[in-house]
Amino acid sequence: MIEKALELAMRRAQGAEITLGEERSSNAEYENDLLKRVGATQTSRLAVRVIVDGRVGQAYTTDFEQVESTVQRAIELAEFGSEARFEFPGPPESVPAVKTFDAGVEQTSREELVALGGEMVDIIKLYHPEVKVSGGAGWSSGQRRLVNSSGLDITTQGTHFGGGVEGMWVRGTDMLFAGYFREWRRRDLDPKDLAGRTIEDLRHAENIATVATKEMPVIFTPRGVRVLTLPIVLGVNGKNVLKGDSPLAGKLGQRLCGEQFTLIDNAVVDYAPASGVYDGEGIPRRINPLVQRGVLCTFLYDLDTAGKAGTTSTGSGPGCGTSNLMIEPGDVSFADMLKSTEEGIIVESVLGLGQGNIINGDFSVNIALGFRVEHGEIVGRVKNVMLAGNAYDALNRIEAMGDRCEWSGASCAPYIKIASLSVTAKE
Amino acid sequence: MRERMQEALKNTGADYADIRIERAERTSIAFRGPELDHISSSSALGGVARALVKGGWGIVTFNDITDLRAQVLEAVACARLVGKEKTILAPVAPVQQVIPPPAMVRDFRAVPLAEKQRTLEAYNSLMLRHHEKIQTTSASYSDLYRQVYFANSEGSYFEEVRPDLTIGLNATAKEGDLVQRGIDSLGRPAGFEVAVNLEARAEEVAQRAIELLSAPPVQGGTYTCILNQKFGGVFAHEAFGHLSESDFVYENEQMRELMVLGRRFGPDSLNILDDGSIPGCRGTEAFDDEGTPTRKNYLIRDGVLVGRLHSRETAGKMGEQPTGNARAISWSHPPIVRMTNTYIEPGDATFDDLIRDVDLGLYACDYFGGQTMMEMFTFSAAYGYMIRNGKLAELVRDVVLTGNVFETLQHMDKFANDFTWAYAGGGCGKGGQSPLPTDLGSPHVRIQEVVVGGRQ
Repeated sequence: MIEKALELAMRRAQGAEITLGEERSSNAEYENDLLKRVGATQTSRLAVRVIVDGRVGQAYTTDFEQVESTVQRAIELAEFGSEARFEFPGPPESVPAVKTFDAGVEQTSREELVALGGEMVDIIKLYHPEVKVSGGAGWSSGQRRLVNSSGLDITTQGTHFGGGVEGMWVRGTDMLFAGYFREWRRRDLDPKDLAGRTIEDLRHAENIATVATKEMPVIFTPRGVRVLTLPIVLGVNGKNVLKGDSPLAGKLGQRLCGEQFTLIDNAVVDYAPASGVYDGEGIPRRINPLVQRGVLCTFLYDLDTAGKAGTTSTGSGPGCGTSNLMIEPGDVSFADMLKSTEEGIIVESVLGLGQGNIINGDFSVNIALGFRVEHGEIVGRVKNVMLAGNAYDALNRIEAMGDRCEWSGASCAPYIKIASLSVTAKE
Repeated sequence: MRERMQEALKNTGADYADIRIERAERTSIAFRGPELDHISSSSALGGVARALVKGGWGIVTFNDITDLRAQVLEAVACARLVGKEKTILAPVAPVQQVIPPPAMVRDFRAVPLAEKQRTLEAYNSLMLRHHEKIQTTSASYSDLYRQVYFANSEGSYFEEVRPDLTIGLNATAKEGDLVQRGIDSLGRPAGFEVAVNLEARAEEVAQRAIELLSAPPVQGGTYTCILNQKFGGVFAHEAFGHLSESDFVYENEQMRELMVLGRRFGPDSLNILDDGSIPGCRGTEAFDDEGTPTRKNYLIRDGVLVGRLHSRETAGKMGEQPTGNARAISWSHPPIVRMTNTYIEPGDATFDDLIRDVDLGLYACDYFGGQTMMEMFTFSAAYGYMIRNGKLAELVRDVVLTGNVFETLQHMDKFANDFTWAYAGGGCGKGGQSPLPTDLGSPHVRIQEVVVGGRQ
């Protein structure tokens, strides 16, 4: 079918790329302490991209009686398409040897998924009967074949296995959410660890601590660190650079932030969630150092954007986005970070990130889960507190980098302590 | 289709089962800066089978609709692993209806692609050329034609067509290192007739970005805030609407105590509703995705909690009436409790009545986005004006409001008489189903003691 589609496309187009993706998944979900649903999905999708008379057209379908008309539609759309300043790539000279598939994943039965989820839920229930627990486990397995008019014909397989748990505690008008999840491309879930960390947060949150409105040190957890990295992720996106939206444009080689900060886009870590041999356009994946010791190194490009910017793809296609985002650890343990903090806040999660003028670095967020530190100890959870600042400013005032990195989703980060940020408490 | 679906649902051994199949066609066009960023078209065909056995759900989604019975039986097998109790679903009279497609003045499927592209390009150019400090723009167009087929094991069957057209306009202005944005969007369940005559809005978007360049960031603190209609609508949706979604409440003792009907949430003048049956609004459907007719639902009436939003399951378990709020965004998702068109009813005051006695306050307008985590909300206004001595004063930027919904609703004290619907693009996100078309409506609203984030 895919060869026919390519042949049909090439009757009119000068270049074509056809991708056929198929995926199955299985999941078990718990809500409010109970097993709520068990399910499965089956997806098949065909994507067509063509270059006709120097312009790009794209069309997609999940209806396999529409293959021909999807190809036709892509060709029609090309007339109005953006100028193509790239060619579809041929077979590469070398590809990374990164692992993305584990046959054991699909062997996991529904009953096992139910048991995995149930184990985490039961552990949290033991902590406190008032905490309502949701969570679950699931896997997906798929393959993708990409064929293009430059002779590339690649088939890749991938699996994902994930699970997590979340506790919700309602006391009067106070609502608290704490939880952890793990996603990996092979089965590597430790239910006791995820449940244990959730309980640790719930314990710390038992007391509510008040906070003054002032500037103070802030420790971002490996999950909270996203507040600081989101602007960089947007800023290094080649499309944003090309279009002039990114404040990082023209600053390659310049110092962005403190020397302690190194941020890498790494698509070739075995079994990491966003790893791959190829990107979505058939370009081999690799390691792209974004910021090295505070200096801006690389922007990310797909074929089209690279063509327009006069450079080459970084294996970030389509879309110029990041893959696995990894921050290099420093040398300060979390325990020491805590001990050295007279008065400050720990930020685990925030509300309102991603709104406003993010790419500038500005953020103004509500702390969803955060803790107050006093005389080197966690004294309770903070509520109705806002955190405001600029990520680039903050990364120039790094007081300490944690010595151990933790994965959450496709992000691997340490604890990071910023010397001071603006904290606003509701009087 | 009806026969195939109903055959597949016969004698499956489940207490309840349903299938929803969708055919959808979408065209998307986007400009970034002066260049066309992409133009694409997608067609989808797929479905979801749900089964309920002893109160447990099995859910299977699929692209291959050739063997519907196999999909239903797999859903039943999944459900058997879950169910341990009784199946409880609020009763809904079976429906049998093929709903005629809504009349589009200009069916967007018949509009030539060249015209769609030209129309969007014109708006984009207006923004780009508006001022030399406009650094870049983004303009997007999307039209979606969804055909929904639904059948359940109780004999219900309906077909409904749900068109949706959205346009987004963004301009970025730059001065030195400072970058500011203007935004606007439109979303209607209508044809191409709503995509034209938006030139003035495109100019306004660019103008606002320019003006925000020389506006100071708002100073952090606690203020009397007046929300404009778009922002008031976001408030109703984000701060309160999500708390009304019964799937957060029905299996949770504490939440049920918190959200007890009859509890006072705000002043007598406060009324918040959700209504999925209003013609011309973006969240409107004849039936929800379980075959329940949509209708007007009071959530807060005269300041008191009187209702919530339900699926058949949440209604059944709470002993309340189903409300027509079980919605799914596409073929690949089961329905969950969602809002439709959520709004604050207008009052009698004028806008001047709201600001006249405010010595120092903030007029917060439009929105970049909103997010809620149960009692906490955070939303970013697109821009604001200080209110000084009863009058609108200087433009300010980076306006982010946050708070505790229970306290904030109590602090609403005046409602103007100038209600409008947002008819906006974007949509609502929940449970991985985003953006679901919804609408927001409100008059100007005044709220005392709102925490506004900012730099000291």
